[in-house]
Amino acid sequence: MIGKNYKFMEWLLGELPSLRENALIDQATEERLRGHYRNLLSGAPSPQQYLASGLAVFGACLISLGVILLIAFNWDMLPKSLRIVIAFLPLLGATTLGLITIIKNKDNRWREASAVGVMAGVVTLTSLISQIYHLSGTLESFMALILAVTFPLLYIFRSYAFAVLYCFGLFFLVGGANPSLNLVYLLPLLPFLIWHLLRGDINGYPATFSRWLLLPVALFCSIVMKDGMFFGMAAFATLFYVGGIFYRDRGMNDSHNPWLFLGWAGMTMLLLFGGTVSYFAKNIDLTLIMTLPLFLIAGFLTIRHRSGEMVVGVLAMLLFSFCIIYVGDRQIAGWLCHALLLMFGVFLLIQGIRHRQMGIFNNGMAQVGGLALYRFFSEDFDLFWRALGFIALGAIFVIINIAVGRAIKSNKGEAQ
Amino acid sequence: MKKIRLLVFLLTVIAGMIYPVYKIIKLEYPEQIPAVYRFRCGVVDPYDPFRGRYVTFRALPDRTPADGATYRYGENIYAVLGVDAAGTATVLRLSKTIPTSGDFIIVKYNRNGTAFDGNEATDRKERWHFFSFPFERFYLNEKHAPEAEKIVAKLSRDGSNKCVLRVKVYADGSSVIEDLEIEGQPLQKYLQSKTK
Repeated sequence: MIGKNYKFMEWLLGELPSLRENALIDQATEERLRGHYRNLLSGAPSPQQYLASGLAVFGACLISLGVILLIAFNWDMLPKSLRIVIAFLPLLGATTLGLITIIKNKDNRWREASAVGVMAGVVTLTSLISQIYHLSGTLESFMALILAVTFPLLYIFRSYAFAVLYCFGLFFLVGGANPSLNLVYLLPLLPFLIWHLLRGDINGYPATFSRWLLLPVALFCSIVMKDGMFFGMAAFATLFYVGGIFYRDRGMNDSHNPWLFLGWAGMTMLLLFGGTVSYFAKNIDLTLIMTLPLFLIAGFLTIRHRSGEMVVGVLAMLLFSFCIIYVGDRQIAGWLCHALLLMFGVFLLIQGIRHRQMGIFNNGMAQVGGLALYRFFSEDFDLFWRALGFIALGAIFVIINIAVGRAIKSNKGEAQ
Repeated sequence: MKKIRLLVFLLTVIAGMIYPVYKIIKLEYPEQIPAVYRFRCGVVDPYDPFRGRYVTFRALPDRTPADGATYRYGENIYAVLGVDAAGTATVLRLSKTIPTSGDFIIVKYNRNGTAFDGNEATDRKERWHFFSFPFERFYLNEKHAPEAEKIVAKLSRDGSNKCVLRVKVYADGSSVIEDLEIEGQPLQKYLQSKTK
């Protein structure tokens, strides 16, 4: 589905007078186009709307936290029956708010406040009953219960604030003994995020929200994999990197596209430090089930997009995964990963120079520079060879900088 | 569509109430009147971000002499309860199956091994089954908790029965703390008498 890109619509409206002046369209067409796009733009959410929603959510969160703290104070001077009645009041209040929101079809501020309020109501009710009867239980089991019973609020109110709270709650589950069960808790959240990611304008707030929130979700998945954590991180870093390039090539700015930098940073860190980590394949099935689809999606995007950057990124992470599974000697594995990082960095340097893209060039510089710094502190070489290596590397950096500087200057001259 | 949303919303709210309401009914209206046992205890005073200040107990006895039986770490097993000459609870034996007679509590198995006093083994030849009781928290008012913790820690260290947990034990093996007694008085009364 092609999304509504409101920025392009505004741009087109600005272009209409010049199109008419140049006789590309007549006045009637201009008016029809203007009417059509103004009508569509009237339905566009304004930044003020999002700000108002944000403030409503913030207010609801503060009220909810205040209620939770009031409950946590423990009013043991009150009789038990009264405390039980009080325990139900926040949930009943939030339920009333939710009913008004649904029946009167209220806007997103009400929806966000209702979702957060009902979740807080369930939290306070469960907490207070546990407190009154001195029930034991871990934070993990408490949060598992809260998430399990409140997840429909995500879809009932289409609430972004609830999605954030749900994601935050997931991290209480990571200490659990059963990783597969923890992954079940992702099932309600993933369709919501994927739906917002794929539908509509890729620069819109919902898609940007999904891109940001998928980062902690990926971290949660990686932690849950326990001994397969590095595979999870490798797979997610690859997917984010490839996705980041995909969005960058569609003109997305950095604040809307956190995947590119974080994917690249994740891959660089893994290649720099991950090679020396010992891997014990205790739960390879879960690791494969989770990482294979991610690599497949990244591979599919790479083939479709035919980008050299994507190919090198995917290959580097696949080889990294093979390296930490099959290379028994940790020192050799570390060297191989560093060789991969060097190749990756050099490739980005070349790509940056060829396409006159300073962003790509700088990424390559950072990778090679990071590797050089790491090696400066390692003891695999004696001082003499390290000294020679650094002098050579420094010289290469200076030469490349001069060359890139000249190339950019000559480009500017040609443009003028 | 609005009706479906409304229905799903009400079902969600009901789902949020099920666990607390089930607990209230189960604890307040049991099929059989629960037996009350008094457990000796040791304490620490931590904090739960949602439920506030509480006193954590290590209810005693948390071990029985090791027999030939083997249990897994974290396994839920049944501890058959008895009462000693001082009127405090003891564990007569552990069982993997539901005991046919006597009161029992479902406990979590920890380990089989020797007992330690600090870093020193008390007796290397004597082996024990160690386990944890399901009641370990007594929620307190924010203002009272630090003072209660000091008093309870002081009294529980001397090994006497001055600090005792009154626990209701239900027919199905579940249990809930009724009160915390200090020198024979409920904690609240004891703190009030101290402040007077």
